[in-house]
Parts: sequence; structure tokens; C-alpha cells
Amino acid sequence: MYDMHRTPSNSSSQYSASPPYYAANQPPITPNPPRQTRADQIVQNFYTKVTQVVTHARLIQYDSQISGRGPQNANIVLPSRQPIHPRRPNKWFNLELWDSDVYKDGLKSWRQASQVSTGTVLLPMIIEFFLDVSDLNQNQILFVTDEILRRQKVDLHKMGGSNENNKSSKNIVLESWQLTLSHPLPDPLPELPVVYKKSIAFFRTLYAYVRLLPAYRLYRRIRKKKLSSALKIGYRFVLPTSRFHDDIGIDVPIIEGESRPTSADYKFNSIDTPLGVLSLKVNYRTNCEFHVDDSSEVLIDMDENYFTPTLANYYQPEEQGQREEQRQQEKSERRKSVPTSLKTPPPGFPHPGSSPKHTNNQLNVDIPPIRTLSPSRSNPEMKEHNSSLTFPKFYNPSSSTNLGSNFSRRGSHTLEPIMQREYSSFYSPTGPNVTLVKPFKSPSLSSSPVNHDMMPPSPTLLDRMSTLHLHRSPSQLSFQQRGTPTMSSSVKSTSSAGSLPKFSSSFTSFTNRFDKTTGSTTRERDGSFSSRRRSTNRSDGSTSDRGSLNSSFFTLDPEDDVGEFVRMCERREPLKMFSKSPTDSDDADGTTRNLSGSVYRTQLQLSRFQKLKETHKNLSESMMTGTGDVITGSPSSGISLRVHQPKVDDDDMFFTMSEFSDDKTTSAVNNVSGPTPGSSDLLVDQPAVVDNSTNNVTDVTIVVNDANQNG
Amino acid sequence: MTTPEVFSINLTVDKSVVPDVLRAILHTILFYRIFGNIKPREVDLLDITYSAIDDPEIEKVVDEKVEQFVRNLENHGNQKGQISVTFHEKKRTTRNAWFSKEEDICWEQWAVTITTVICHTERDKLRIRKDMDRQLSTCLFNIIRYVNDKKDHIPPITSLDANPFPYQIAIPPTNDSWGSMLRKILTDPSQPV
Repeated sequence: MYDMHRTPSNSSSQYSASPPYYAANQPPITPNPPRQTRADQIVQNFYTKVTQVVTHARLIQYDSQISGRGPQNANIVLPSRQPIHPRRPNKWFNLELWDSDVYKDGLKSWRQASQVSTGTVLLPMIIEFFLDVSDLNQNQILFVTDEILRRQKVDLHKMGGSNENNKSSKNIVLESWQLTLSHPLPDPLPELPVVYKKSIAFFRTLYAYVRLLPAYRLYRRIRKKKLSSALKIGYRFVLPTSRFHDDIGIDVPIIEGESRPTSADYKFNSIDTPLGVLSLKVNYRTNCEFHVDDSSEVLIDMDENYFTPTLANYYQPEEQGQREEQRQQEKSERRKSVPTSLKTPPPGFPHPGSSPKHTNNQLNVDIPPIRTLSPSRSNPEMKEHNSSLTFPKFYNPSSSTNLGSNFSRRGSHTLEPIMQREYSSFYSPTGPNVTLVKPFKSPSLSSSPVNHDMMPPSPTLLDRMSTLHLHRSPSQLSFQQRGTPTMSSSVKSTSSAGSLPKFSSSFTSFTNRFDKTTGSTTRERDGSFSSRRRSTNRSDGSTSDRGSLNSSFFTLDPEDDVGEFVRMCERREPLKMFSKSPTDSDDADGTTRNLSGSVYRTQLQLSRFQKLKETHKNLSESMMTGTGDVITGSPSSGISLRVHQPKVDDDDMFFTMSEFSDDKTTSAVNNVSGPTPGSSDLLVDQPAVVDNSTNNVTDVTIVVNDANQNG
Repeated sequence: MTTPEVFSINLTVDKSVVPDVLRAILHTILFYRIFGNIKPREVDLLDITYSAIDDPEIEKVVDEKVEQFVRNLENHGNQKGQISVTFHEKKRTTRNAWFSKEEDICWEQWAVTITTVICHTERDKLRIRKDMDRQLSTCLFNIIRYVNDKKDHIPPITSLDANPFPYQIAIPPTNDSWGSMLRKILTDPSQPV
């Protein structure tokens, strides 16, 4: 079990021009080649090995150009009587690699150049790797992914210092490796066995390091053919006579706005030899995430305005200069499908895009609602639904006039209208399905009764919206989860726990997909894909994801509705509608009485959950400061709170709890202070439980009863 | 007796990736310290590529140790596991071939501690995994820096064996500290820890 290991087991001993093995007091095993000292040999092979190791990890043609042909033991003589050199592994410095022709010529020319020019001291050997875009055709566009996973187009012609009008693509230099043998000679002169031993360790680190650099990922993608074959990594030996003015140097940023430095470098520790001090350093570009897209396939904008509803584009400032014309064209195509005029709804009536389900979160970002992609179809149906409209009962009439004037087009101020419309157009070909599309409205309320005028957004809407109430029924809550993923986490958790849909963050997979593929989708899939993507984005509900999403896709123009909405979401204010006492609501109609009860329950749930969230946060904070360890509690009869690593999100707590709350309806712990009568059974014994245990998680038992099960 | 160089590695990972991460670490350590001739190979883990030795014997050893580590981890509460890789050299005490004894000297120890996190949600898993990417890549860079910096303590290569520096991969008992384990190794390296 604790045996000493002496592996590897298969060290072959067949080589010519073999590297020497040095034992402490023994001469080298292999005979010395004539006219060359051993030190020379070591140094020369050091250079070769460095070239070998770095080109092996950058050039896909390395393997196809392995030196020598045929199997090792081939003794076939060709008719031309040329001897075939069998393939030989290069085992110098105990790192076995095949020799390859890919670097042979370059190395030879460098050797000749350096010997001629300097005599005894070798020139620094400089090998550069660059992105070769000469094969990109007219239709292909080069992109680079920045640190927030956004693709940016690379305009090669504009870059570089060339002031000519040549349209030739410039190469982008990725890495520059420089190996120098410097004087003065080390004192005392090192022994060759020590030099060799240290070189062994050196080449192991070089082999590993070259695969940890950013350019390696590019190489890997090219090798796995994930990238367009138009991208290649080229290399060259930089000789004193080389001039590469037109190429884009490593320090030149390709895209703007990156916070990390464009380039970095690393210096390997030097190795003393009897001929000088060998040292290797590398200067590399930190962002090598290049992609190529066909211009005809680039249909999905990954820019920050992607989620801006197309109608809002009318009010946006002129598109920025860096947008391609093609993108503008796509946008205009989208715009054409959207009606340009929407009338103001009657006062007090929520805008179709601004159904209570949207307004419950205090979504005050002014996004004009988006109609379906087939407006002609939806309009008559909307009018149809118009007649059966009733107003939500919790709408405070006192502010209705104000709302009416400014409220309308702000509508939901979410992107849900887009999704709804797209849902309706893609999934309800017969027209907007009220229950499907508007889960938060009372069943009698239709989706969009009238046309609405487009009006410029106004920041005062925030106040107006404060009086709107959420109106949900349990049966629609689950769709609400899907339908309104922008709701805050606390709201989300109030849905029926058993039916809480769990959405994994497909957004990351989406961005990964974009990184990995050319990012092309067909136009026809655009809507459904984007809607699906958005819904899974939101329902995931993670603030961290949202944060990244926001920065990528939402413009932060203060005038912009979307930006305002997103900022509001990030503020995560408590939903004002839940703070309002349910007894204030108008409740004249019998049909809405039941609904008021459920809303009331919901509000209670929400407040309980909010308190619970606070508790959890406090608890986990105290645990973090107390123990700092991961603690996994064993489930007790009720529900145990599991405290995860410190950085756990509050959302996770809710997911965890809701997982446990499925069928655990215990009435044992019923001592929460003052639940209002007739309310939900959502019970959280916060103060008592928390106080008992500060360090022992397993004692914390929080029972969560789902109100909906009882309702 | 010279004290061995000790290099510590500390990682916090999701429990599900513990075997892969440990395998990566062990392969990396052996890659740098098996001084005989080796064929290198590269292994992709998440978004990182680490280098390993292309040898079935070594793979077998590493797999066994990883299995042992995981079992040990589970038996002891799934929180923290430790494993150590030590490198030794055989040395003759005197030059006199008749009377000298072969000594086993440990000249380097790699002390690996892996703390596990159990993730319940997919999102947690993704987050930990991303962090793990960063941790692992930082760890690999640090190892490279260490191997580059410290070359003087490597004993001279005196044998023509495939591997001049025998190694030992050991899982210390849970109540052992690194220091006591090392002492045990130093006093009698041939005895199991």
C-alpha cells in the first residue's frame, strides 16, 4: 500500500543521438560527437527542445509533419535510393516528443543567421505565434469574446499603425517567446549533470505552462475543428532582418473596454550552463478568444441592446457607430413587424403589456409593450377580449388618473411582453390565450384590450405603480414562474412549492454555445429561441446571472426604460404591493373575493419568506463567522436548514427550502407570533429557533408549509 | 539530515469533482518529479489542460490512490481530506561498499488538502465549478513557479533507473498533522505511515 514506486515502466532505450545520462562519477554513456563539446550539445538541443515544445502546443500541423516516414524499423529503400529516416522520438531532457519538420527550416535559418552575425554568442531566439486571418473570405467576420462574454467584432483593417490603404488583413500576434544565452558566464561553472537535471525540470514546466496560456485554448479549438478552418495559428522565427510592421502587436488591444491588461509576460528561471545563462521568457496576449462567423449567419445580436424591445428602439439614440449595417437591417426588419401606434388605455386599466403580473414587482422601467410578431392577428382578438375585461380589484382608483396618463406604454416595463407575445405567436396560433399569457390577471381580464399609444417614458411612473397590486391565483402561479421570471426571488418562492419549476441556468450554456459555435441561428428560430432563452434566464432568478446579463445586454443609458428596470431589479426593493394591507382592497365583486384571499395569503407568504430569508442570512452569517466551515446538517423530522459555503445566494436558500417543503406539513411548530386568522399555514418560528442554536446547524428546524396546499 | 522541502496545496471543490481534481494534482506532481524519460500527455479538466505522464502503470497508481482518498473522505465525514506525495532518494551512508547502508532520504513533500463542498442546486454547482477552474489554474501556475524556483534541493541523479527518485503517496490518518506524518516518514521512510 505504501510501496515505493519506481515507474515509469516503459522507458525505452533505443535512440540515436541520445541524450547523455550522467551518473555522479561516471562519464557520459554515449560517445561524444566529434568537434562539439558536450556543453555545446546540451545547449544546442536546449534550443531545439524549446522550439519543439512550444510549436507542439500551437501548430496543428506539427503532428502531420513529423520527421521521418514509416515505422521505426522500416528498412525499405525507395527506388530513388534515398534512405528513409525512420521516425525517432526526441528524448532529450527526458521529455519524449517527435521531431517535426514544421519547425526545422525556421530553426535552421535562425541558427545560420545567428552564427553568421554574432560569431560565438547566439542571438536571442525569438519565436512568435500569430493569428493568421489571411484565409478569411469576404463573408466572414472575426469576433473576439471579451471578459463579460460578449462578442465584439474585430476590424482588422482599422487596426495597426499602417497608414496605407491596403486592405490586406493584418496578423494578430498572440505570443512571443524569447530564449537567450547570456554572458557573463556563471561562476563557478556548473557541472553538466546538474545542468541536465535542472533542464529536465525546466522542460516539464515549459510543457505544462505552454498549455495553460490563453493561446492554447485557441489552438485546442482549432484542433478540435470547433473554429472555422479559416483561422490558423501561424508562427515565425524573428530574425534580425525580419520586419513585421503591419502586424498587430501583442500590446495592441483588439477591443475596447477590457479591464484586464492586454498582454502579460512570464519569465522562467534561468539555467546556468558552462556557455552562458539560458533564460526563456514569454510575452503573451491575454485574450485569444477569437471566433469567426459568417456574416449571413450572424442574426442574434449579442450586444447590449439585445433585450431592448424593438419599439423602444424608436426612442433610442442613433445606433452606435460600431454596429454593422447588417444588424441595423435586422432591427428594421423586426421593427416593421411591430405596430407603431398604441392608444392610451382608459384610466385605471392596466396596459396589456403592463398587466398586474408585471407590475407587481414595481417594475418601473419604461418599456413600451411589444406586440406580437403578427400584429394583425392579435389586434382583433384583443378587441374581442376587451369586452370581457374587468379591472383588477386591487387597483387603487385614486391614482388611476395619474396612472392613466403616464402609465400606459410603460406597461410592464419588463421584457415579458416580448415573451408573451412570442409565446402567443408561437404557441397559441389561435391568438393570445388569456390564461396562458397573463397569469397574473383575473381570469376575466384579457391580455391587451386596446391599442396603446407609444409615449416617451417618464420616471415618475415609479410612484404611480406603487399602488398596483399583484393579483395571482395559485393555479397560475406556476406559469407565473415561467412567465415572469423577472420577479424577485422572494416572490418567486411563494409559488406552490411542489410545482416550483427548477430551471438550470441555460444562459451559461447559451453563452458557451456562442463561444463554441459560430453563434448562428436561423432567422425562423430567432423568436422562439430568444424567448426561451429569456425565460430561462429570468426564471433562474439568480442575481449574479442577472448581473452579468444586465451588463451584457442592457444598455445603461439613464434614459432607457430597460436600463431603469434592470437597475430597479438590482436594487431589489421590497415589493410595495405586498406591504399594503389586503383589507384595503376593494372587494365588491364576489368573483374576486376568493382571489383576494389568495392574494392575501400570498402576501403573507411573501412577508414570511422575506423574514425567513433575513433569518437565513443572519444565521448563515453567524455560522460563517462562527465556524467558517461547511456544515451539513442531517435532516431531522422537520426541515433542516443547510448552511452552505458563505457565498451562497439567498435564492439558493429558497430553493433548498422549497425542496424540502414538498409534503412536509407538520403542524408541530406553530408558535409563530400572530399569524392573522384564516391565513396561510406558513409558519416560521424564527426567533425561537435561531436563538437556540448558533453553532449547531442541525438544531435549526424551519417548517415550511405551503399555503397553496391548504388553499 | 536535511529537512525536506514542503509544498502545500489547498483546494476547495465540489464533492463531485474531487476525484478528477485529485487525479489532476497527483499527475501534475508526478509529471514534475519523475525524472526518468517520460512520454507526456495532456488531459482536459473543465477548461484547463494539465500535463501528465503517458504511462499505464502510473495511471493505475494514481487511480488507486484517488479511490482510496475518496473512500477515506467518505468515511470521515466528507469534509476534508489529505494526501501526501513524498520523494525519496536512496543514498549510501558511506562510500565503502562493504559497510555502507542504503539510506532512504525524503527530500520533498507535497501536502495536498482538499476541502469539499456539497452543492445542492445546479447554480451552486456551476458557481463552485467556475471557482474551481480558477483555483485549479492558480494552483497549477503556483506549482510551476515553485518547480522553476526550487531546483537546488533536487538530489543528483545517481541511478540509471527509469525513476531515480522513488515516491510515496500516502493518506495520513485523520488525527495526524502534517508535521507528525513527516516526522514518521523521515525517521523511517520504509515503514508505512
